[in-house]
Amino acid sequence: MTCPITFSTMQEHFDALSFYASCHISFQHALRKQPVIVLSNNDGNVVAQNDKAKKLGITRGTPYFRIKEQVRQQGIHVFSSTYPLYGDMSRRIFAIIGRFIERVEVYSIDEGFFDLTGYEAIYPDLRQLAQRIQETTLRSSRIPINIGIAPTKTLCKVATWFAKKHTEHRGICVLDTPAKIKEALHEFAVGDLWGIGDRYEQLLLQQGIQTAAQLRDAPDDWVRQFMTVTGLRLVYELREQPCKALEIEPARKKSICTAPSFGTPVSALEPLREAVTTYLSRAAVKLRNQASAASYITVLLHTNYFRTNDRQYSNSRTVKLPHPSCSDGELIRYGLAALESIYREGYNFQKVGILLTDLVDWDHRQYTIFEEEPDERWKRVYSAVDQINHRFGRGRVRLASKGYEESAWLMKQNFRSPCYTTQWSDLLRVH
Amino acid sequence: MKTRVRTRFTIRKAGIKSRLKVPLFLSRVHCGFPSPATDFLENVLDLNELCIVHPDDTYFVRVEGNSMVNPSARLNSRIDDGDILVVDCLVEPVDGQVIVAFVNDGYVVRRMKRVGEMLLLKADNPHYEPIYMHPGDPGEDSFVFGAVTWVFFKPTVLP
Repeated sequence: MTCPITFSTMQEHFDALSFYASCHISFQHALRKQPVIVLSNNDGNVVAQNDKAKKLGITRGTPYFRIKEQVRQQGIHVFSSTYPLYGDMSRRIFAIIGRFIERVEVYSIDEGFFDLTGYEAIYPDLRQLAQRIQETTLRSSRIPINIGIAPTKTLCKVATWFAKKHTEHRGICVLDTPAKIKEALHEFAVGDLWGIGDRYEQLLLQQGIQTAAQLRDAPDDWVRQFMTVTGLRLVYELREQPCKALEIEPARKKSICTAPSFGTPVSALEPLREAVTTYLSRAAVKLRNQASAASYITVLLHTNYFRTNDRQYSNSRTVKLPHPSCSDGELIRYGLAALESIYREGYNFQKVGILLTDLVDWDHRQYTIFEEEPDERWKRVYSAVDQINHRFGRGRVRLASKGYEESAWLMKQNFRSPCYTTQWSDLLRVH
Repeated sequence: MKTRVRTRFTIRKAGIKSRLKVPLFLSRVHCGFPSPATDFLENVLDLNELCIVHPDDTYFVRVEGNSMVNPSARLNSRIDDGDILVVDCLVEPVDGQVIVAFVNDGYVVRRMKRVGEMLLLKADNPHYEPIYMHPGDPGEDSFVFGAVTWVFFKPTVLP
């Protein structure tokens, strides 16, 4: 029974620990052992918190005004959302991991899947590989990540959960044998599974199914009847059979990201433009489907690190949209401008990607969404404003006429949250 | 000022139609015999290529204070208040190299020397005390941020 089983596929999943808070701590290491919370742009809800803040009972979504007194008394550090920083740190982390493993699925700004199939030949010890990835990421970004390795995506998420919860794993959990998987699923609450929402959790608990192991052993017919074919796919994934077409989506995305690799390297600008246009139109549909609008677009571009004979180049640019938008035309216009500003001639690009962040409610933004698109001259004004602000610091030039813009800026200025990697004025100070 | 031209080149792969930023004086050739110089066009020089070996692991930081200014040896100590440093987190710093480190709850720029398990951080300015750093010590919670690979400063204009 000791002989190791080789699965036909192997996946890696990682997620960054309290990512938004970690991005701020990355440049303010002194805050590492103190409670840190990050607020949303306008209404002042908590959107992220580190472990120390969690221990003080602060949960995601708490309105800021309700905990203002607690923040003051307990010395909790507060940051405004700083999406240019998160976007760049996310890009860096994916790029660093991409140096070890080529095939990546960017699942969200702080979470990704990597296809390890076949890598056993290069890295016989997957745990050691995970350790090297974790160490390099920490060294270069100072952001701790958890890594789960298992034969299917769903099992990877289970592995990452163990990596996170059990400190003795040191952030890495490898489920590479049937015995380890069995043990893990016995301990795993069914409600914590990827894709099991409250409703399914209630249903399963009523049926006496409490652990992931019990769900795995449930009869196919029953699962299909009560949880449809998506539930059945999930059960297959628990049985170590990968179902790539996993369609179970989280209720609402925090961000939308598309960055598939090209089949063959691309060096001309035109195909890159086409790719960005396609990704953004798709993303715009996703935005409208979940009734939200994006405030920032990030475009990223990089060569293939494994083609060691090639010259290497990677870059990204984040653009703040004049108003949150879900219109193809607007997203594409700004996306292409960002692409053209980072494009360089003479490289073999492996990937161009887009990332839409700071997604806001359609309902909150309705009055701007149905506004006419800004005048062409406005675009020039915005581009000049952006250039000025990029050079002299965020918010130096801004609109005074639009009410919501004003309040957004005022809110942002309440808590200093520097863009360490995207604004010359915000660089880390060393003494 | 940069100007864009649409043209055909065969620099790396035959038959690729590409757009290239070129110096202004070359783009003036609109008619008549084409300039033979266009056959030798290369990319314009990019400081990033020169200064940044590991783009995903590199950060810019700004110097505050005069810890690295040595008044008696001005030429050897060129890191001054307001300078921008290129800091590479991936390269392993060697003895005598300038590094950025987090120690005593703050970020410092100093010249590093290994002394056993310990790191000795010395300022070029003799008025600063040396710092002894123990990177493995969890109680101290210090670490090397990265190695300084380039220094940017604007030369002052003398009257």
